[in-house]
Amino acid sequence: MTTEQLNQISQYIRESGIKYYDLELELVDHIAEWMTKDMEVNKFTFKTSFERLPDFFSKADLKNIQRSRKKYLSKKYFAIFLNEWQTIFTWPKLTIQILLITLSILLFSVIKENDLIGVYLIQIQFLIIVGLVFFYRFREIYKLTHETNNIQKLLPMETIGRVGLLWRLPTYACYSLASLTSIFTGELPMLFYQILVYSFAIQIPFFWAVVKTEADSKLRLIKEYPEAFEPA
Amino acid sequence: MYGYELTQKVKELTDGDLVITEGALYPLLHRLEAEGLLDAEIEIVDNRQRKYYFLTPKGKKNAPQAANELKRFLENIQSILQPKTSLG
Repeated sequence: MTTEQLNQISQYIRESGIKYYDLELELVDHIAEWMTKDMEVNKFTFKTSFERLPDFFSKADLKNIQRSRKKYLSKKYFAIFLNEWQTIFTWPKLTIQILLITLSILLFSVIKENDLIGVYLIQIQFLIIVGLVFFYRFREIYKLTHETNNIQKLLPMETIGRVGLLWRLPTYACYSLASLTSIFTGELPMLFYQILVYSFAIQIPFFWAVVKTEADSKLRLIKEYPEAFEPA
Repeated sequence: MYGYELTQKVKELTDGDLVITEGALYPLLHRLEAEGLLDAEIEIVDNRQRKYYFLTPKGKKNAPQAANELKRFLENIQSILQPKTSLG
């Protein structure tokens, strides 16, 4: 089939309500294969076979495919995240985490309660270093996904963003609550620091699992659909 | 195998008795992919991208069990449709 004919099929798919580039490509291939067979067996021209499309590939069917893809992709990325999360629970990594928690508790009991803010600030610095290591390791992804203006709409990309909410939402909720409390009481409650300091050893692997799931999945998408990330 | 090839294979194996529509096939493929039983690779064929699905190690491991479950299900349907008659 010629590029023009393939474009015509793409147009039909888009008009049927398919909004995502990845899904469009898969369906273009399916329909193009079907039409090739249809033209060959029934001796039809491209035009005749194209006019038969609504009878065999209805808008409702195509939209149903898009709906199911949306539903199962969320499930897929959540499963990847869980796998990533589980890899943290190996004995060496677990030992480091237990040590970190113990250290936090010991530090907390030794240091006066008011110095908890200091502990928290040290932890924040550690978190920033982890973040910087991460951004350096996956710098290509951020370059491609943030610097290109004409990035095609990919359904997996949208779903990966939802996985990111796993750590963004609790973080935002925690900081919003703390800000609200500080507005009314004049200072941040000690409980806020206690939660953050004590849960630090859990925060790091959780943050790492979510962000690594996002990065690995995006990396795979960039390899699979390089043209979707090409600059204008 | 890719989507269209799968529909044709089923048609061929059942002498055209069983026709899988795209509306049924792709949601199934997407579900199996989400469960980690299938994975996919993209290749360029005839000027367009084609997505090939294949069984993951987990999928290969689960396939015989799934086939047995399906067999038992069909046997049960069979026994409902044609119950065994006993003289007692």
